[in-house]
Amino acid sequence: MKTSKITLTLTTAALCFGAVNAAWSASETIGLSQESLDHPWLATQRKQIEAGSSTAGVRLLATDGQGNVATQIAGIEDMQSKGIKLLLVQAGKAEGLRQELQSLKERGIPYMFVGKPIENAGAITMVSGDNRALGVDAGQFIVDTLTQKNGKPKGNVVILEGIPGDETSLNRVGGALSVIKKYPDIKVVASQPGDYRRPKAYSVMQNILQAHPPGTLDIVFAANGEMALGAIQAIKESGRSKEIKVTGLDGQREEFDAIRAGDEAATWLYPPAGTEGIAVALKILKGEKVPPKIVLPTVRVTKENVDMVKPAF
Amino acid sequence: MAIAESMSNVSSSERFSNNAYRRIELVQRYGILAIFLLLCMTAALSSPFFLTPDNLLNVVRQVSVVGLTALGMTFVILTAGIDLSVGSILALTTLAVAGLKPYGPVASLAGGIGVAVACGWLNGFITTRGRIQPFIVTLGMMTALVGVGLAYSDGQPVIGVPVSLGWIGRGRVGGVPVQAILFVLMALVSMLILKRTRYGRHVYAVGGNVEAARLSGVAVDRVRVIAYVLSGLFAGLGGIVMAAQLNIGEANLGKGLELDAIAAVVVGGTSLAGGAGGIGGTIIGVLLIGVLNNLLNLLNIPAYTQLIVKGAIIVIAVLIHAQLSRSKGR
Repeated sequence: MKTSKITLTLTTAALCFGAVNAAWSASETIGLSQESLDHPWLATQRKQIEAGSSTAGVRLLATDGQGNVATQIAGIEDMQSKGIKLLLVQAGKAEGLRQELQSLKERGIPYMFVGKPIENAGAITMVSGDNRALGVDAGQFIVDTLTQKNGKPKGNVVILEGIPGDETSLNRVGGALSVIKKYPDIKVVASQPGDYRRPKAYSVMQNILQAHPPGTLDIVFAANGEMALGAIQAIKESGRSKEIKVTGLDGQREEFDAIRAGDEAATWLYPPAGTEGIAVALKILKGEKVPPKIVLPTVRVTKENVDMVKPAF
Repeated sequence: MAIAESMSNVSSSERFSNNAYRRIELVQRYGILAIFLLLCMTAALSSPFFLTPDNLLNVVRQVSVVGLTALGMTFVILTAGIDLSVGSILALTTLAVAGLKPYGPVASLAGGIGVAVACGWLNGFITTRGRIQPFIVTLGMMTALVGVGLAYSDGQPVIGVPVSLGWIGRGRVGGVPVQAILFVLMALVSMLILKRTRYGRHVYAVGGNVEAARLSGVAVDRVRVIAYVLSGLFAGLGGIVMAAQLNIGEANLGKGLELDAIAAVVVGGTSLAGGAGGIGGTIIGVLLIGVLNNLLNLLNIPAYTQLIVKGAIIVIAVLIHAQLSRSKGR
């Protein structure tokens, strides 16, 4: 009795899967591989790509690496075996993926990068913002702000870095430093990792505030929005909001609110590139030519334009 | 051979004076405290900002979330179990607290605690009924609960907790942060449970020797289930503090928290094998890690070096502790 029930269930399940599979093969299928799904930026990217592909009537398979490059590769393999025409890759640990992409190329499956590219990895195209350029513009903003405050480019800067060794963080911080370093009177008095996370940045900022008494800090550069929001919270609680400005990066919705409230001085949009990415992907499917690199514009958001720009996610 | 060895151990230990025993106990109990004080002294000497009352309160406030979680973890580890799902339970609690905002602060709190306790109970239920390693059960739970949180919140942070709850995360009573008071209170309650109640004695019995405990009539499964419920409950309290502090709920707020909590418990001298240790050690372990993080920031130690220092100090602290207990025992 029990056995037959199980058999029945399994058969039904198999039939269902079969039906779904048959439906899939009916139209074109593309794949999306993300490093993880645990950040709003990544969730938004997936949602945009899902929306774009369903409007166009293209089947989308999506997997994510759950923060682990081996898992991401396994997901790519699974999708490849189901027969995808094109793969969209949001590259987590860039170097770890290079080999896998090479072997995809050998098997004749084209791929493109969305959001986070790898240079010289044989992709048809890459659609993303430019972290280094964002960092450079943020550096310029910091220099201008300090000049305005102190009469000349002079002051003390705090940097909240992302996860140690992470490429995005290195590019953003490196870009900002490349500008700041030109002015000897601007000092980076603290540069500490906040791992992109709000709770961590919150306590790191609390500690930094302890080590730098009132009057010794001018501006905080956070390598993403979550950390900027954590830093703002810590600064507010210390009653030093008037003294210390905060800039973020990413342009998430909450940062926009903070800018409106005057808590955050500026942020830069780092678009998830899902909408733009799927548009380019559809062109590729139709056989159209696309440029090898599409860099999404750098948008600086301050109190002046906050009501005219849409948050990145 | 093994029997002969243990026999000789017994007879030699019988020759120990009471003093020697007391000394081992003292070292086991206070060795980690000495290491902690040593770290504090180093901190005080290397940064003029460390010993300011403001900074010390700052440290206590910062450790309270990990601290609350570590209290629950102590119960579980004492029963020779482990709970890897505390970070996910904490995150799910923040989501419940923020998500129930429209129904008012009481519903928010009750919902948060309810979710946390239910998850803890499920951990214990599956572990004891299914006779599965708690490592696997709670590992699965850790992954699944993040999924539940992401699905519930659609991958986005849920903004805003009831205004009156903000007090838990940001308020002060007589200058002392409310969350620090909560941590200290809960630590005292935990200590009382372990030291003064029958349940506490049963926790040690189960962790020390399951079979012996079972034979002497301890309801082993119930003791273990309650330990997981406590672990969930304390992680939930941590979640309420964090949600109140940051005014959001998010599915990944607790990432990595389980390792911080386990490290604090083990640094505090509680054995991963169960049956030995206690809340006092955990408190020191929590403070040790908190002071370390604080000092690394105060001294502006670069990111890569921080990872090395943190890892090394945790291992060295346990190493010194183990060496001290052993050499004095000889």
